[in-house]
Amino acid sequence: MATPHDDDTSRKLADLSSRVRKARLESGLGPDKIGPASGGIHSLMGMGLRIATELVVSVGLGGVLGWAADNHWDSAPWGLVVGLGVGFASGVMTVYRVVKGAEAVMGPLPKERTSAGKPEEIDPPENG
Amino acid sequence: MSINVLEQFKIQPIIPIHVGGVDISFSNSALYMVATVVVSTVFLSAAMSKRALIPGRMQSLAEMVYEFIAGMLKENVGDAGRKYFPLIFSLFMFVLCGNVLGQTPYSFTYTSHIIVTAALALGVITMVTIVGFATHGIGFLHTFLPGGAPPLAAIIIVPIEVFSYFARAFSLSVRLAANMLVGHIMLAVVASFISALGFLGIIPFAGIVGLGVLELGISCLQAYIFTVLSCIYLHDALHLH
Repeated sequence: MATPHDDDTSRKLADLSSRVRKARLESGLGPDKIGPASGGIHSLMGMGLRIATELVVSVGLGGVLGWAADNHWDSAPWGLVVGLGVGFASGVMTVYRVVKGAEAVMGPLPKERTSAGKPEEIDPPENG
Repeated sequence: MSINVLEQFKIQPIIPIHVGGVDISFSNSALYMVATVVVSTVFLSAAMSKRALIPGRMQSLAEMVYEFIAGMLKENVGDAGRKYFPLIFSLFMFVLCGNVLGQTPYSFTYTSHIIVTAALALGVITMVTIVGFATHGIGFLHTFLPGGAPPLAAIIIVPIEVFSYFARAFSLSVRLAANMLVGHIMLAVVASFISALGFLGIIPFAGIVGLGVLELGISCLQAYIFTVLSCIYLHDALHLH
């Protein structure tokens, strides 16, 4: 099988593919590398600071909105309970995404991690 | 002698302007915003005026900032993010210069006011939402419901996703404002010990030098975080998963 001709072709193909890869990288068409930049104390520190505020702000905002709804519709304590639950769930979800290195701060989880079992995972905080 | 550590955050009108009962005075906050725009414009255009093939110190600095943001966009948004470079770059310069200019003594830090950062963050979120709908049409609403989820779970997932979509604007603004606020209060508190302790004031004085360096680092880090998160939100809107 390994005739000189085959050898030549495969070498040409390898050469072409390496040139294509290089060109793609140079023109910015390379595979999108996303998420916190690899390494570097700054990005790690940034990630830590981010997670802290993300969770606090989510729960806080949920609580304030729930409390406001209670005041408006005179529905205490249900607005606060639901608001805190939703806030906590969304905070945990955001933190989970950031820690997993998922690009999405929002939206569905990446395909490989989206399974039928996932929705149950965010259920308990809602009830809590 | 007591020092009011919160006085540095007070907005004072410099040129009072009242139009139809609305106070739109030119305040110290506005002055520093104008100063930021002037400083960054003058710095960038002066540094690039020579356009040398082998850059000097100032030109290297300007090119470094440019390449930093360009690289950030490429890494976080990909090729589609190129046309948003002017916006992201301006955002970064505005926050960075605001943080760093606010670091100089007797100055005012507009990024420590939640209303300023909230306006920036709401601008980013509004823009990202418009970009999302413009790119994907009504399909952008898929963001709020993962593909594999059973329809019944939508009752729980959709409100949480919608909530966390809008909570991002708050976390973006609270993070920046709180960091700047706390840093400046801390500096003022430690500084107030210097005169109170007399000769021993040399100890908090040494401390404030270290804190000043730390604050400078945080100023840059927060500008970076604000910009990189804007990039990530932009990515989410452009590429639905």
